[in-house]
Amino acid sequence: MIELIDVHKSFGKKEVLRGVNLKVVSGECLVILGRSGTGKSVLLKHIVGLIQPNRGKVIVDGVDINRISEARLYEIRRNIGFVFQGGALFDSMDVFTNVAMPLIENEKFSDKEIEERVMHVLGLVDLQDAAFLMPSELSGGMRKRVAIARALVAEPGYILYDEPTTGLDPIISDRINDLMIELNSQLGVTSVVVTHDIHSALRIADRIVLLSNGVIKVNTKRSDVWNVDDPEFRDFLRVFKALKEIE
Amino acid sequence: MKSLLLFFEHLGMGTLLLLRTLKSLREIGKVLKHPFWEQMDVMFFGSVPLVILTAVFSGLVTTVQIGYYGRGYAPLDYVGVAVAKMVMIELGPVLTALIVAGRIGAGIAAEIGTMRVTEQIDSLECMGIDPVRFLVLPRVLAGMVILPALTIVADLTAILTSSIAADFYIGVPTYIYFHGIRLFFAPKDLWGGLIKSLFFGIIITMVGSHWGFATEKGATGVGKATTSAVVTSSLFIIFADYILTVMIYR
Ligand SMILES: Nc1ncnc2c1ncn2[C@@H]1O[C@H](COP(=O)(O)OP(=O)(O)O)[C@@H](O)[C@H]1O
Ligand SMILES: [Mg+2]
Repeated sequence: MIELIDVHKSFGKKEVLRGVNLKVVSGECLVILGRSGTGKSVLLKHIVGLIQPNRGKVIVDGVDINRISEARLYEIRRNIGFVFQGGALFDSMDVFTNVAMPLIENEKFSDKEIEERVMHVLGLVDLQDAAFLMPSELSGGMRKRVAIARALVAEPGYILYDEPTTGLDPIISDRINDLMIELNSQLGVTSVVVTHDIHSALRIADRIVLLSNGVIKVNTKRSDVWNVDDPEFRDFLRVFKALKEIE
Repeated sequence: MKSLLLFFEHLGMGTLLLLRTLKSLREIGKVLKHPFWEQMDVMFFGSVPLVILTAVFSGLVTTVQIGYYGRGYAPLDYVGVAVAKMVMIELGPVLTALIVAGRIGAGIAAEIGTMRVTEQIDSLECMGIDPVRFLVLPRVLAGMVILPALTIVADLTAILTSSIAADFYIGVPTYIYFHGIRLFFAPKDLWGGLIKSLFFGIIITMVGSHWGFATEKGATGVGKATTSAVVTSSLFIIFADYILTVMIYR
């Protein structure tokens, strides 16, 4: 379980998070919805300790990650896959090596095991043929899928996605949505997805929260979204309905 | 006032990075396998042509100059010693370092800076890989080997060029040129310069890495980082040259 308790974060004078309280239950797919620049990425980076709160706690599996040694923190991070917004693939390495990195560095795997695992996750994202391409040769959707494969390869208990569908065309977006659903339901990975894509949120979420003005304003089960009467949340839903009507 | 604050902020960050690099020496085994050799390769062969070119011309210039200063005062037979000492103690290490700061230092800042703004460094941290060990340590270790190696190349090139120039411009035959060197050469001339270059190697790679890590997001971020890397390491090189010269040769 991941728990954020009263998390505050400012950069200089700018208050980004002003007391975020949030629980992520094991096995669920939680979507954090929010407009651009509201601090979604900042929130997500708190969960892996890339950013430390000014006040409040971040608890992962019962451990306050800001009060432990660097070595323990690295251990906890190995159980969390992070899919960065731009993919954050290593430019100087091919797809195979990118995906293998979390295993190569963790010295308990043999070369053969590494190869098997990498090809397995590349298969999951349908990219086995791209193993020896360089990141610069990939399309946006492929980069995202490689990033997902890399986040998966060490078989983490959690995967955090930062805007996995932003900037992709709707067809590719849907494939990424399907992939996230599959990983969540079939592999039992707990997922946290940050997005401003309401369409994607409604497809994949078990639960949706709305981050607004530095706090969690709405926290609802997927089945209850139409009963929420928060105006900003309804704005998101309206966009979705408009899309549906056009269809 | 503000720029003074900024200076100390970066000095603090840089010192912290240096300490983290020293700490990452614990995992030196992982570095020596592959990344270190890759960096050695990139740094050495990428810089050799520039270093040789610089050394050729500094060999030529010093020879002609010494011929000019010494005319009528000092026996020109000793032009070889004068040039060799100048080259080994000062010109070889310092010119090489300044040239390499523009190439390797800027390269490191750009590479690490790009990784910073595209979240590749965050991504390393998320995999439980220490980015300092992964990126900085191999570069610093390689710098410590490469700078002295390039300096030796520069020393040899400059002295060889100078011996030819001495014959051509001031009529000192090659065997006399080298005879003078043999007579007055002190081992300290050589190793003192090489120790300097070792420190220059640390400066260039550490400063480049620091600016890489400090790169800010945005279109101009990486460009600023590379410029800052070259300027800062050049200043540090000249400052360190003074300190080391006093320590070794006074
Ligand atoms: N490292 C940082 N330093 C200063 N400001 C930051 C930093 N990271 C994020 N911010 C600021 O925090 C705010 C929220 O950013 P972010 O979490 O990236 O938004 P988004 O919800 O679009 O992901 C932005 O205004 C951004 O400028
Ligand atoms: Mg973001």
